[in-house]
Amino acid sequence: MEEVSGNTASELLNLLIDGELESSKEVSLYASLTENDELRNELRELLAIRESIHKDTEAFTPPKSTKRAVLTAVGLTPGAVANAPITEVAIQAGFWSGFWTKVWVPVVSAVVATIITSLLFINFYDSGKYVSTPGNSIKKTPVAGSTEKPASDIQTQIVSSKENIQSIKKNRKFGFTNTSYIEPVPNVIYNEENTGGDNHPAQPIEIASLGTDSYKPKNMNYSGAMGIGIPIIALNPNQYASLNNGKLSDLDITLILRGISAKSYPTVYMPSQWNPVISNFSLGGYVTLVDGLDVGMEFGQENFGLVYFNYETNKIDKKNPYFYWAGIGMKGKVTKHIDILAGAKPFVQIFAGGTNIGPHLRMAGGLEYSWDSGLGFIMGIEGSSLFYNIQNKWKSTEKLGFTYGVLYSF
Amino acid sequence: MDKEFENLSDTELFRVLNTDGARSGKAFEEIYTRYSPRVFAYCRRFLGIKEEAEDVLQETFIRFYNSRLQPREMSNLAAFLLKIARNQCVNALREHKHDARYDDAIYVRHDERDETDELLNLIKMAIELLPDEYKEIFIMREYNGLKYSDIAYITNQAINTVKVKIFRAREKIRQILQPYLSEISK
Repeated sequence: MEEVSGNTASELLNLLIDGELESSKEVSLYASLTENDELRNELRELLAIRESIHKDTEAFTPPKSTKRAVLTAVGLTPGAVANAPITEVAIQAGFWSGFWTKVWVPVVSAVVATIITSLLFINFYDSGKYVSTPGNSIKKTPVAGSTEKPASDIQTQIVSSKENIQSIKKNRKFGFTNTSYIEPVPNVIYNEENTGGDNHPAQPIEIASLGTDSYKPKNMNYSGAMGIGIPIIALNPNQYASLNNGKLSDLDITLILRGISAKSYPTVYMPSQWNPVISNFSLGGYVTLVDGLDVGMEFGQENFGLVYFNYETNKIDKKNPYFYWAGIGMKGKVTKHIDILAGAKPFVQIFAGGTNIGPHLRMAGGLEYSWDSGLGFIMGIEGSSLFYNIQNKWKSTEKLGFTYGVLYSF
Repeated sequence: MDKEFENLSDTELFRVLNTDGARSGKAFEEIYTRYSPRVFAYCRRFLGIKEEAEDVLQETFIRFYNSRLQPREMSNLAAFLLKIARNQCVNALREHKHDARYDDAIYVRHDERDETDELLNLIKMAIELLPDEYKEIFIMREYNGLKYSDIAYITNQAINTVKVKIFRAREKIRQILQPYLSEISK
């Protein structure tokens, strides 16, 4: 190879393309380039290699998930950092942005579930129908017919076969019907004296069918009907009684099956190792100790994101495993139906138990749509903490989310 | 990303990184945005396995963040980050020394229409075939655009050694690619 200023021309060529060639040696190298075809070819090849490397976009594109993982691992929430404040005033914006990032999942879930629950509730129960007769106290009656028209908090007058005037107050703000889907069922109105006790089935004093001559609500305005096309599946008295009289013993027992939709903190973005269709659930049984206070047991299965520095491998370990958990719980609830909550009963629930890697605490609060016995629904916000020990250090994973399910009281 | 942080120099960003929490977090994010492509490119081509490269990339920035409070004047952030990355890569290679490594770079795709892409695949293959001591220096020079002095700092070698290794690495790559490159030269 040709020697230039103590180096081969090829070595100088390498220094040139790297920008490391001393200016004093440039002139002699350029002279060699003009005279030497082999050197020019080498320059072309080196530049072609460099040009190709610059097109290696795959190597220069780190996965986006890595950024989230890094920020989370060092304790910076990605959303919060993205909106991190520059001034003191902006600190609030950053806080709320981070806050919203954490709560949007349960909030959106709660709104959706509220709609679903309301629809189910309205279809299954008429929690606010009261029948009063002169001189008698008010009694709650089940929905007996399914062809009702909407009535916005109005008093309807009912002319019975005995010419007694009874008033029905409907607490529901709205109702709906789609007569094309349903079979008209006779309405049944119960009298105070005939509602009976637990051992005496209620006796109807009147059978009427909406829309017939024997059941003529007056001044009822149908123009505001909300025909949203959902068939009403209200229960007739026999069906209702079969649900509510299924008490197994003197104990008030409630079974609860619910799903849990929650986000794990820290968050691990990796696919779960379990079929998501049958995961994140809980099954529990509760016994009423005193009015408004239940105790019981629950078990469930849920995934938890685990992130920790592994001192053995000198790496950050990220896992998203599913764990079975079980334990005991206590549930307190308002015993009366709250009208402004469409008859729902607020509840709070605490739970202490464990998983196969450590202790587990849960807390939930929400609304329960249920009666003393029979089918009901619950929905609410749920938070949980899983504590686990890794390399003699206790760590925890928190989950915040939404719970929604069905219950059956005996 | 906020313009204020985009316009800060590396030294200024590092200073902000050591200040209050909110600004510190944003400075860190800017540093990540600025340098993660280069660090990842080094890890990706040096290790050859994407998942390992991702792990090392994470480790690098986590270690960098955790060491931010140690008193030091940061004059060359890129070199500092690559030094951390290099140590992590060396550890990863040592851990997997006896493992069967899947070198995706040596599988040249045949569906490439563009000659440049074909050359790139051949270059990746050639890089894989380089000895580690040449490979890392070649990647730092060609992928990261580092000066010889920075490479010398990162690898704890003399500048002249770096100079020689870069030259030899290029020679080897040219030898491997010679049949293809001679076509280009024509």
